[in-house]
Amino acid sequence: MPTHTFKLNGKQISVEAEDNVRLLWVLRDLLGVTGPKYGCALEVCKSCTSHINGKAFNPCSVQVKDIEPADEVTTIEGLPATVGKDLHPMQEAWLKYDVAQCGYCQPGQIMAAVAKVKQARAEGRDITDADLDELRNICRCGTYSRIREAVKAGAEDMGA
Amino acid sequence: MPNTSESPSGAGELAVAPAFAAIACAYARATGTMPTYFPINHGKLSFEPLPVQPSTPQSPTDGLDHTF
Ligand code: FES
Ligand code: FES
Repeated sequence: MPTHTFKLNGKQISVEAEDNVRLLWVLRDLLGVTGPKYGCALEVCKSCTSHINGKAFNPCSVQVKDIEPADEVTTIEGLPATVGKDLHPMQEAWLKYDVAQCGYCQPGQIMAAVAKVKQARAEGRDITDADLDELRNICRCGTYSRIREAVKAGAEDMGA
Repeated sequence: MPNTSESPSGAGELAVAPAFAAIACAYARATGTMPTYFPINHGKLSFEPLPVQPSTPQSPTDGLDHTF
C-alpha cells in the first residue's frame, strides 16, 4: 500500500493508505484524529471542515494522494497551537456564547469561522453579515444565531 | 419537566412544532397563499439534489478546489 506523508497539526506524519481513500477516513480511522466529523462525505454538510495550509477545506472530498508532503493539515485538535494558546480565541468566544448544542457540527463551524475571518482580514476588512452568509456549515440543532454572534466576537479577539 | 440543575435545558424541541405552524401562518398572511407543504418555497429547487436512494454517490475528489 502506498505511503503518504504530510504535516498534521504541526507534526510530519506518514500513513499507509490506498491513493483514493478520502483524507477524512485517513484522519479519523487510520490516525485517530476524530475532531473532523463525518456528516455526508459529499462536500455538503461541512462538518468535516479543517484547514489545509491555513485555508478551510473538506477532507471528505480530497483523496489522500492529492496531499503533498509539504502540505499542512490542521484539524480542530491543532487549532489552539496555531496561536500558541490552550484555546483559540474563536473557541473562547464559542464558550462565552454557549454556542454548542449537541456539538456535532461545532468543530467544523469553528474551523470554517476562523478561515472566514482570516479571509476577510487578508482583504483588509472586518467580517460582515455577507461573509457569515457564505458559511454553509449545517447545524442540525439550529444554533445559527449564536454561531453568528460568536464568530463576530471571536473575530474581534483574533486581532489583526 | 423536573429541574435537575440550576439552569433549565433539554426541552428545546418542544418549540419546534409551534414554530413551524407560526411560520406557515405568517407566510400565508404575508403572501396571501396558504403553504401546503414544507419546506415552504422549495417548489422549484435552484440546484440538482444528490440522489437519496442507495447506493450513495462516491465522495467527490475536488475538495482542494473549494478552499477559503
Ligand atoms: S462530511 Fe465533509 S462535507 Fe459533509
Ligand atoms: S450543535 Fe448540533 S448540529 Fe450543530
